[in-house]
Amino acid sequence: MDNIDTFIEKFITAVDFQEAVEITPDTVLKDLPEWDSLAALGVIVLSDMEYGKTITGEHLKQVTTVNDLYQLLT
Amino acid sequence: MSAQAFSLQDKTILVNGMASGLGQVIAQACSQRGAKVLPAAQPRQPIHGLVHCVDHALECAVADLSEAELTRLFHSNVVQPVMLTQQLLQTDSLAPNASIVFLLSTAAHMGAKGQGAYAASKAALLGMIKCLALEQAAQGIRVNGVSPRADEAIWPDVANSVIFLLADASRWITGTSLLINGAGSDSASRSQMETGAAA
Amino acid sequence: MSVAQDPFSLSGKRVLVTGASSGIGRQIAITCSQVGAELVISGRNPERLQETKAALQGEDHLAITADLSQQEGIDQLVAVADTLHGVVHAAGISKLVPFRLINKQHLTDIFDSNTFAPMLLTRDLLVKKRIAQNGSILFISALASHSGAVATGAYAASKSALLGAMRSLAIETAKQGIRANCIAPGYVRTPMLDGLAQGGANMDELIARTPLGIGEPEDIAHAAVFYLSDASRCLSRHYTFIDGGLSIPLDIYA
Repeated sequence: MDNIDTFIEKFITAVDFQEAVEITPDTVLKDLPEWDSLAALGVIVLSDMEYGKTITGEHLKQVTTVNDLYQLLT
Repeated sequence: MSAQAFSLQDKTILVNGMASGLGQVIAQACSQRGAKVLPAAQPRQPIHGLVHCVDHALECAVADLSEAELTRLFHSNVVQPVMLTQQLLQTDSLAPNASIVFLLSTAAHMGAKGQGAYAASKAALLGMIKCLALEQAAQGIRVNGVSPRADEAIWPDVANSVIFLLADASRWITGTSLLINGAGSDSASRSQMETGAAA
Repeated sequence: MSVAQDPFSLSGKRVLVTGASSGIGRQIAITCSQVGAELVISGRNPERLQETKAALQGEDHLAITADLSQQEGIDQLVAVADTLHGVVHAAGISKLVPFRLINKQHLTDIFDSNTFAPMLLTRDLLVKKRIAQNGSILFISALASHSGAVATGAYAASKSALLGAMRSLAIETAKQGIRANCIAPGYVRTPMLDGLAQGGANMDELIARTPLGIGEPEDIAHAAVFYLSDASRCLSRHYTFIDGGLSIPLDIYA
């Protein structure tokens, strides 16, 4: 299973940040300036392809931090 | 229920240009499918379908085209059907969910020598169809075209495509045109399909 | 007008519909049966396929559970197909994946179901002479083939591939009087659309942009009947959007 650092790397690839941002486990998703519907879709696909878990937009709405997301997916 | 979707029962259809050969074939086919067919608008008679069959041909190289000929062709093929449509819209003569069908031609979609003026007049209607379709969608009014190849033998089939576009079966189709290419049913249309496909 | 002479009737015609266990394929099968066709239906889910079969009007219909992304599935279907007057390729899958996350597996899955299966099934039906003279082949593409909406890279590619395949096929089969056409639906109320919403798409916004509102499976089914019937016998090589006008203001030919 991926550790949190590997997860964050994959998260950054999936979301495709144009401006470099520092992501920590405590980063709040909604505070990310480029967090939009395509970013959310990237996470949904990441979850399915990398972790074999089907999540929906509804699941994502209940997630606050990057660490919450890590817990949900792994 | 599905057979009814292709019926024109209880529909009043105005055929603009009914005197032409194709106009007559279309009017007869609509009437056989249960429509009441009118050659012109009548007071207090909501129209469920409007078919524009006016179609004047002109074969002339663009280098030889006169302004008078071009103007006359555009008036009969474009201005007349469009202004009639406008008049029916302004007088609220079209029923909600009415269907409007313009007669185009394969020439509207494909270039050919000597067809510049004619092709342009039919392509003008393509533009009109798309914009009118957007303007009238809120009323549920649909606007489409049929684009037959020039061949009297396929007139009954043109009429069937018109019927489809007038009937409730096509209630979610708007802003488009059906190209009636003959489907390669004879050697001429097969050759057109093959050469048209070479590119 | 008697039923036999009605050019919009499918009476006396045998029609194969793939993807008949749900959505557009299911409705096409049901509507075809209502206008007189004898159906051969296929789908991957046996229970839901039987539900579709039970909803068909009339008797003598055949239901074949088969996965057409596998050659064995195609073989199974072709073996029992007998003479067909119409074929509707409605089976297909969709999944939203941003381009940067596309991988080979995703491309293979999408193309196997949406592109290779309909092409290979058609090939085998033609080779085994299962399609009657004057038969009609209909591919179900998608507006995405031209609109290329966000995150539809693989799906849009798989659907626009059907355009080239259909155009070439239509010329090759014209001599036998066999027609080939494509219809490309916009947003229709189906389980696939629910899947897209689950997969992160904002469907409400997309539907609000459709001038005539969301489409119903019946709207696509009626168009399918037209393309299968003798009323369209002079139409081949068509690629028609059935989308409630959604494509009209798009720059899809730019």
